[in-house]
Amino acid sequence: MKRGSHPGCRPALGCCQGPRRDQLQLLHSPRGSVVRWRGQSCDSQQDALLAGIGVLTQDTLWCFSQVKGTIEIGATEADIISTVEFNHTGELLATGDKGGRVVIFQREQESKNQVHRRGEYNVYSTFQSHEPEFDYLKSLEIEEKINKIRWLPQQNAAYFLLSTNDKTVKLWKVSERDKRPEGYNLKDEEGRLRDPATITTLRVPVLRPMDLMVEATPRRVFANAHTYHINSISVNSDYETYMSADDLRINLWNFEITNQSFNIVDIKPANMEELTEVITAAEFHPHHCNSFVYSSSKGTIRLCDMRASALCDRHSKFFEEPEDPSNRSFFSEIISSISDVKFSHSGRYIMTRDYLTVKVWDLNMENRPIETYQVHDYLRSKLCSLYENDCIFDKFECVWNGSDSVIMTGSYNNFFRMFDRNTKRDVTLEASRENSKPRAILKPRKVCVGGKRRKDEISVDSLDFSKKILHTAWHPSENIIAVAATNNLYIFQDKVN
Amino acid sequence: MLGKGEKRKFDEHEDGLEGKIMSPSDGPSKVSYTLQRQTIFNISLMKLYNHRPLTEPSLQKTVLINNMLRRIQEELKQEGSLRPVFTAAAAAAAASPAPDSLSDSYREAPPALSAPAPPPPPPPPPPALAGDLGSTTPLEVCLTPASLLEDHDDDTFCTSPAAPPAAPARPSAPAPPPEKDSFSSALDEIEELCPTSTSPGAAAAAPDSSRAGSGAPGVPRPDDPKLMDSLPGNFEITTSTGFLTDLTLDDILFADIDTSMYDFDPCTSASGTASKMAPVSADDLLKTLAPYSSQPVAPSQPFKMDLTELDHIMEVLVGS
Repeated sequence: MKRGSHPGCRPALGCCQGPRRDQLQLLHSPRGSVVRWRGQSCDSQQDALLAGIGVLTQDTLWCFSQVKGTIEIGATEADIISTVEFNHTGELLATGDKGGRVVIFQREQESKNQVHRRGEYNVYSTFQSHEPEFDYLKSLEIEEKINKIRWLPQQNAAYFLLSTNDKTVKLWKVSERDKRPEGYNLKDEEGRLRDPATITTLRVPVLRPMDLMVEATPRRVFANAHTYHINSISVNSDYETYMSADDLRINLWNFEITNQSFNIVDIKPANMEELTEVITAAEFHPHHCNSFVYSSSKGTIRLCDMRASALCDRHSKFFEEPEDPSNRSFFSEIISSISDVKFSHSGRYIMTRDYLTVKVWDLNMENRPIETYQVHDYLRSKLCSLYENDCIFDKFECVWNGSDSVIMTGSYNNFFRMFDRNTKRDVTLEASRENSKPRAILKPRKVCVGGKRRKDEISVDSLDFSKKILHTAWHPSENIIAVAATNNLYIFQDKVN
Repeated sequence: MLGKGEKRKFDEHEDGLEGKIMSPSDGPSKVSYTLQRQTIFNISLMKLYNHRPLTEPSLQKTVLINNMLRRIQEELKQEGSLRPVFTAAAAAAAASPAPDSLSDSYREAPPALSAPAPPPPPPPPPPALAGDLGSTTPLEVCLTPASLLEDHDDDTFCTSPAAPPAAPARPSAPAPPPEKDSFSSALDEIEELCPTSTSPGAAAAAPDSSRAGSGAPGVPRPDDPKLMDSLPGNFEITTSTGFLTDLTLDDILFADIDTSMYDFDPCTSASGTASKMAPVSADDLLKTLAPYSSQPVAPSQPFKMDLTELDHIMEVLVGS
């Protein structure tokens, strides 16, 4: 089809309409290269379409890269991923699961031969971080589920991370060993002690190469400081201290000292009957080691300065958005409960996630957020059912991209959403095995709210609420994202042209 | 529930049920609002008291559910606030029954009264709430699943089961679980919910906070002096959280073990325990029970004796 030769062709836009197949259109990219579709399969046709659209609109196109984890049949509850975190360079990706295990993936070095394929993540180390415990005083189990993992910035050849369950924080050192000493005098090759009488010569042990071994050792265990369940840990920018937050208290630790911590926030009322608010998340400011924020179940965020007093019960700033009277319902308070709070990389903004929205706040403006994004507003009419089946208490996390221009959060039905703060465009993508062909471009999904459902749209009633994406992570500098869907970890990358 | 794939029928009706707060003046929407409120109340209570996990329940969830219940109780109290509330520490929350004009409309919406499910350890909330929504309707629990609300259909509401099963007015509290660990966890639940100022472990709570371990639970003392004292000043809070403080040690330690409670059925057993409120003061209980409960206070004699015995034993415990 020649450009301009048929109805519907708008050469100015670089668009040309060929014979219709499922209403797909052929696009010419502005750079002049034609996206061929004749004789190709439908999928690549769609890929081509999406690539074309992406190029036209300058949206990022996301492609499937890898998926880790078993397919449904073999999955146990212990395999459910409960936290995902890239390290500061993006070279390592750590996941924690309900069984108390930590799995670390390492990005392979990019080879010169395959420029188009970015480095893949392969398993680097696996270890059991926490074990189930039993609290004898209360006769209750302490879950071994890993609630959070936070990396420390790398200061030597080893990697350090903090992992926590409900009660105990541990500092793990992950190091490589590729040489081992040989030629001991007092021990033989198997390690057995030699009979001193048989030793006649003295030799110096030498280091010989061996197969690479990655070992993880617990270097510190920070225990017995939390009566309630730990929900957050955050490493301070001074790299010497970190904080751990539970429902009612926040403690400040020094990495070197495990038997003592300072309590910096305590919102436990004298009379527990009067308890109406709990701490839901906390984080240190990325640059100012004296500032941190914590969010509450009432939808408020407090910024505290540790220089002001030892116990930061009085906030320096208090962020709260006045309630919208037109949206009031029985569930207003519950859906306003903040499930995650994250500083932007710049330190200028904070992002909060409540049940239905993601909000971006400017630290300089306390009375309302500067941006509000609806994640799944179609659930607003379903709140009663979601309350009944406890989904309303799901804690979704949210993440910034490296440049703070795009934010991402999860939803149900294995959907996750991205919001571009500059263009104000958003997209819904799905993490599923069906879309898992190598380098397949992810197709945007749409939930239809009522009325006529178009093809490819999914209706609200068909959403699977057991498939929730609570944990996602974004590479610190590149467009690589890790999305945890129950027991599977999906890694997506943007399309490399 | 969700994912059934059924089409909605009335959009506006759904709005009335699911979302907005209506002004009490609209007739039919007021009824559906009340119905929804009652349903949410029941669901909340079920969540609080039926959860028997091996691990500690999430404090955030508990707090949010409690807040929901408190808010509903506040509303109920305000709506029926023509009659003054009596020593409501025992009766707790929203005690006064609705004025006659409203009770008619309440009768239409079959309702789900507030006698909720009896949990194995914690006690049910006071029946004063029962009196609130229609003193004429017998104590019954009619749990309308939320899905009905969504698909909703007026007919289903009106024809939902109305007759309560015969309520065996049991003076004793719901049986404590035979296993020691559930008991201890209930104990801990009490400790968390009740004032623990005298319990040894928590007494040093403040300085201990940074080094706090689990802390020794200790024995929570009975709440009556505290509640009574705080009544005038702290009325709002104690009444609204009264159902929390109803959970006294008495129920756990001294109630007869009755395994029939384990057959949890929201529509049957709830009424059985509704009449029994093991609150802190037996006398107050009887005073308040009489006007509100539609159940005969016939078992009052042995009931009273049990409570005085319990008080006595409690004093002994605390003294030791």
